[in-house]
Amino acid sequence: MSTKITKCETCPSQGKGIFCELEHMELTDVTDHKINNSYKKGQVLFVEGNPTFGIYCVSSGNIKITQMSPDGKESIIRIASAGDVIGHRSLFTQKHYQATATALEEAHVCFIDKDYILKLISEKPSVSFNLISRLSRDLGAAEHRISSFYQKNVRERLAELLLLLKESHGEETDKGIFINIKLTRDEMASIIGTAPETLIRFMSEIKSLGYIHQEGKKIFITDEKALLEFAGIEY
Amino acid sequence: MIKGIKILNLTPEHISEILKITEVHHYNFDQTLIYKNNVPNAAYCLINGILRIKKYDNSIIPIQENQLIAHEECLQHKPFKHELQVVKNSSILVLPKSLLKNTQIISIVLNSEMI
Repeated sequence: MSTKITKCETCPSQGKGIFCELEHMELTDVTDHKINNSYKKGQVLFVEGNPTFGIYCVSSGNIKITQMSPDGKESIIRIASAGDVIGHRSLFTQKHYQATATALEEAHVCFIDKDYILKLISEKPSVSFNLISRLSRDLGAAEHRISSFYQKNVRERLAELLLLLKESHGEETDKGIFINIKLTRDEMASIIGTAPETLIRFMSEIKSLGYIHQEGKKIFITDEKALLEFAGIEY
Repeated sequence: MIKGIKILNLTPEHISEILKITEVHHYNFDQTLIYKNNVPNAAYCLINGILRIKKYDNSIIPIQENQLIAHEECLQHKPFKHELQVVKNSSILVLPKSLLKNTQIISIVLNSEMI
């Protein structure tokens, strides 16, 4: 028995994806060519060094993109969420994926193979434009991250991370802005390039200042303005 | 014979034909190519190394060289009933959906012996 293919028209990330400007007939063609799957927490979509076969479009859930250092240390380079594309850089630059993609929680992801996506890119300007736009955004984020590593201390980088997660995953609640993403302290430490113990110490400091509130693993931002100042960000 | 999964024996001539439109890929790490109940992103044919099916009872069934697996599930968007794993240093011929729809590949698949 075939599994039901989630149509692009009814995708939970509708409006955020790279195919959203396509006409109905063209979207039907994309639906015919894609493979959609659910990945459980910890399941791997592709491994760094794997040959590139296509791109992955995140329909829902969060995927961590990591690179491994020569000494075996994992570093999170970005988190892909609904509407994001993964594996597109390798499509143009390298024969192999440059990072590993792992589901952080139950995630629904569509796979589109290389031949078909390259055909779409050459025939549909809106798809090309959206991909260029994503590549530019990713490049901007990477440049910002490099400058943060040089210009900011760990405290400031942690505050900045909390603010970035607020932008991508923040939800207004009566307790503050809830950061709705399940990241372990190790994962958060990996993103800002510090040790988990250091991250925990600075989390406690920011908490004691009243900028955030914690309930178990849940983090709420309670004073965004103060956190922006703490991170050295002008608004 | 693995219940519910079609495997095709490709001849060396078939492999040569397929290699005209795609290439063999090398896997440097152990990894899962298809998770249980997921629709495969591609069909896989072992060229050398170890490709194996891990069944729900954790038993392992090795795929032999030149055997093509997951083509039916990929084309028909059907869930794969078990897990397909590749062991590091294996070489695999990977045929994604667009390639499986290629008339040349279809004729090879139709003319291949089913296991």
